[in-house]
Amino acid sequence: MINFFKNLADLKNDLNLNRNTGTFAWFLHRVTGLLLTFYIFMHLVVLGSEFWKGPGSFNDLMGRFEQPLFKFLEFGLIGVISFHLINGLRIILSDFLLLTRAHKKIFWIGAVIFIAVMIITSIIFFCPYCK
Amino acid sequence: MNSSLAWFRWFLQRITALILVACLAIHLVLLHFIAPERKFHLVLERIQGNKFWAFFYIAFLLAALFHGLNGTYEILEDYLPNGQAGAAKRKFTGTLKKLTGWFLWILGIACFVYGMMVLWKWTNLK
Repeated sequence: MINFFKNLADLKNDLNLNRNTGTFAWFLHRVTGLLLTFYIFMHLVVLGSEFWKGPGSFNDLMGRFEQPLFKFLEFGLIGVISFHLINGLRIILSDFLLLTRAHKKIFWIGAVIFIAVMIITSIIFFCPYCK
Repeated sequence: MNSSLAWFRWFLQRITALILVACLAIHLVLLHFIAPERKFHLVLERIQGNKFWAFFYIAFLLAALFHGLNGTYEILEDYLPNGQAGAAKRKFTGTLKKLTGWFLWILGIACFVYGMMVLWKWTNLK
């Protein structure tokens, strides 16, 4: 257990010592990955069990998800997915197409795509006049 | 860790990532643009007796579970006690890693079976 916390302290040290685009992306990729794995379980257990029970409980649950709180959480989810997806594609491009030398440039191209995706998502989610 | 197994996991992580990109694109565009109304009967109409959607959800779930749990293992591996001092500690770390691996496999298989049961209950595939 002590070793585990020491390893976490080392992580903080590593992040401080290597303040590069790659470290930043690596760290965020891991955090978003863990969040998404947690989300898959929630998604599977909550939606699965209500879908199993049938129309009544499923439609009830979906009705509750229309609340503003869930809209914001969903917006955050799209953000987490977009980052993980775009950065993941950057990793695959670097690995499979031998573009390691261009990985920083690809990161910033990805950042622009990420911002574009989030602007489009916020328009779809929160603009009442756009429907 | 056997090095060819480690390579295979690295490779599968990327393959499942590409499957997930395709599945997620379909999943999100369908449920946010084409059919945003989330009603039980609409989902049922879409998936009942439909082999494409059954295949889609099996592939999606398998890819997502493998990718998520393999990624989790990859992270845990870095923060488990690494036991560099002495053979006893190294052995302890090995056991811990194996236990973690087995735990994640059981969790993944349980989730897959659960997902398949939900899918099977309503799809009525012949």
